[in-house]
Amino acid sequence: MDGCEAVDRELDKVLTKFGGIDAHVERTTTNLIHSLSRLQEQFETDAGDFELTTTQASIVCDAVNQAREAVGRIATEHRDLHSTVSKVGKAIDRNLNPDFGTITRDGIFSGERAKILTQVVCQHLYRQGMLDIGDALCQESDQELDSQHKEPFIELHRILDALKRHDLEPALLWATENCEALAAQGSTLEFKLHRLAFLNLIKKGPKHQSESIRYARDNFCRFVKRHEKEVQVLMGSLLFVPGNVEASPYGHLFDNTLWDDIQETFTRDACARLGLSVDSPLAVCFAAGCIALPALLNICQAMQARQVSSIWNGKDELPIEIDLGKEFHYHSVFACPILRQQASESNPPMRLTCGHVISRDALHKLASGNKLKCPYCPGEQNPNDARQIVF
Amino acid sequence: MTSSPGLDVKCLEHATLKVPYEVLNKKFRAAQKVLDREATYVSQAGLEIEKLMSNMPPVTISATDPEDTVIEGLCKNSDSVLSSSTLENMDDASESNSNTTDKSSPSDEFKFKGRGPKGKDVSKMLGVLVERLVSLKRKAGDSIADELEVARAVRKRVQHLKGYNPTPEGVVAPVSQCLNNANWRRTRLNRMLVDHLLREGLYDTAKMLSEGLGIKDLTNIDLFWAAKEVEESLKRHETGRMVAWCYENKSKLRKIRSSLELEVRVQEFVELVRCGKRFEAVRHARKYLADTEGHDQMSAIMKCMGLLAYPADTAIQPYSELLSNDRWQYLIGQFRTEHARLYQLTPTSVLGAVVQAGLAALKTPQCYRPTTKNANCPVCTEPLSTLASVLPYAHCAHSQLVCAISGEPLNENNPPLVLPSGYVYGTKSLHDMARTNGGNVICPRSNRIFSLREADKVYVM
Repeated sequence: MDGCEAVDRELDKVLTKFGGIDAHVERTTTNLIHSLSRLQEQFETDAGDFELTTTQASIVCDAVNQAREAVGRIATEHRDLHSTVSKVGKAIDRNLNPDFGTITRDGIFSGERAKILTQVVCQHLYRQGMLDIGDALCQESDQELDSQHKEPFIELHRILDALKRHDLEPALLWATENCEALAAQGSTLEFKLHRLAFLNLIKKGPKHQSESIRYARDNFCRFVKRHEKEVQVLMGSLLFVPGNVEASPYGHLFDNTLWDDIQETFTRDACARLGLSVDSPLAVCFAAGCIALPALLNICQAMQARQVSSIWNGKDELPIEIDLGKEFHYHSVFACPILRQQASESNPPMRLTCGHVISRDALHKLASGNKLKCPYCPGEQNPNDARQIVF
Repeated sequence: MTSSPGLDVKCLEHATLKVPYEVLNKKFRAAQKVLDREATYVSQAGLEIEKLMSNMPPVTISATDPEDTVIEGLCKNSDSVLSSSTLENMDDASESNSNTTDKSSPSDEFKFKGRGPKGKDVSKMLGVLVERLVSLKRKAGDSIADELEVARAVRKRVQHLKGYNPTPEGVVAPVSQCLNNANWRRTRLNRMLVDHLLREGLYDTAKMLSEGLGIKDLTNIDLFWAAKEVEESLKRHETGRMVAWCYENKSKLRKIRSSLELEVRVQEFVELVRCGKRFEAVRHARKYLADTEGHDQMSAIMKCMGLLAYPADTAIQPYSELLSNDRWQYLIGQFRTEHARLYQLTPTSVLGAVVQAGLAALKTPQCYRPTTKNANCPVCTEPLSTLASVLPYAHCAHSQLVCAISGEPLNENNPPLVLPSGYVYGTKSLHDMARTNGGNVICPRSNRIFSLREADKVYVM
């Protein structure tokens, strides 16, 4: 961030100086124009074919000279600002990294892959609900995107938009349609939607209270098993219907958190139901890249200093471990603590009888005959007792 | 390896600032040119007047030498150049007539007359000078306003970048700051998307996206819009705009040793040959191809001149290649590359590079095994999965374990347990399952049922 500060400081200078020269040019030229026009008028009004006296001539000469000098000075002053301008460029180059060519494999995203990347972008746009822009991209890039990539998002966004407007109808419809699948994945979406519908009725006041009770009877029974407490709370709120429910101990049911929550729940459960990731894959990937790229750039500079050619050689591994944070852990990866190596099918994790886990290769290396001493605890065991496990 | 905060800005945002800076630099040069030119005009007009004055009758000049200096001194003392009262007196004093009324340039006239300059003519010439000054004032004002505008645009971007305040690891930031940063990151992705679309030549979508999100000021739409126009003219098989663009950026193109201008001139030559205007083609070549520098371009020129010997529908290589319509497409590609190079843009778009790094950092062997795919992992899903196939795997020296049921991390709060089937799950998930299942758990991957008591602890270092 200091880098930006430095650039900002240089820019400040540019802005002040240009502001200064702007005012200066304005003032000088106005003065010159003014005095010269008056001089001109003088000769014009005295209209005549008189000849100038020496004195007049020298006055004219002087005025003209002054104008020429002033104008020349303006040009020079402006030219002197060049160093101020170029300092901004230098500050940018110094504080921001100009090139990451070293860590990208050139042309890796060209040709067919460029098209795939465009597809990814397109799907991202659909995901974000920018359907028209996604369509425009498809058209401009001459791509046909399967409607199966697009349609679920159209529906999702229609329902989400409705939820944003506090309209439960489309969401309830969708939840009822997918009721069994949602139940199978342990979703609470349907209950939460009915809860909000019920609360809406409660809010309407005493006139609608029989309607509220009917709604509860119709819809809450099948949720009692999983949501007993919540149903109790909801029914309790009926106590305060004649008065002001929102000021009652049940008031918290009526603030906006439940609405925010329902949007989140809906997105998560609907995506899971449709087999989609919750976040846009491109966004996740980009976020991971923003962490990984600086780290890679760093190691690359270090490696170049030692004349190691490229980090992208072959299909193997990145040269360093990059900790993206636990929100980016999608798979269990077991790295053998002895060999510092990722486990693989040919070298799977083995659980020793004491509970410690090491890779099979490490196990063979540590074992001597029928004896193995666990590297982490004093227990001694037979290496054949170790059991392969799967994370 | 952990990254310190703000490192991503340092690594990714160079182009965000550098491109508008280059525009500022260009504007500065343009403004300097305008100022220099206008100053020369003023100077010329002034010189004319002085020339006129120096044609005073020779007697007067020699006689009034001392007097002149005195008056000059006087004038310098009086602050403003001329106070009208003194002038009037002087006008009264001068009362000589002459009949010459010539419309041609007054200076020429007086050179030969050798007589004192006339008031009318002086007035006319002063009028010219004033005109020049007015034009200088206007143009200088416009140019400097341009410069200021661009400088402010750069500023705006710096301010935007400064709005990002990532916290160092382990420090808990206030909610407002987290929200702000999340918003900023979202905008960054959108900015980079626009940039990527521009680099891919998908201009209309880029414009729609940037305008739809209100981030036009933070992207280089305007710059690329000019490029778009050049590309479109090339698509129509016209070279005019491209030549103009080359001329506009001549010095820069020379600095990066670009052969773009040669390429477009060759294309013009080819078009002339195609139309059968071979003599004009030769004339064109003499004018534009002859003065190219560098031996690497010599072979291109030779090939080009060889074309003269063949009919326009020749099938002989490399001449048919020169005549091919694909060359226009090639020209567009060349233009795009050189345009990026001119503004110091990296060969891959920032989005491309970041996605590349991100995919590699996320890629695990599990992403490509059907049994271990995770719908939330970007690398597991098409089409990113195909993109990632050519990239290296993440290097993993420390175990990162997640519960296969809940996706939660396995750590001291949720220690891993292994079932007799050999599969490992988190304690939380197994306990939850056992609670609803009368103490039994179902291993989802082997579909076998065990009692929770059969689960053993697993210690991962």
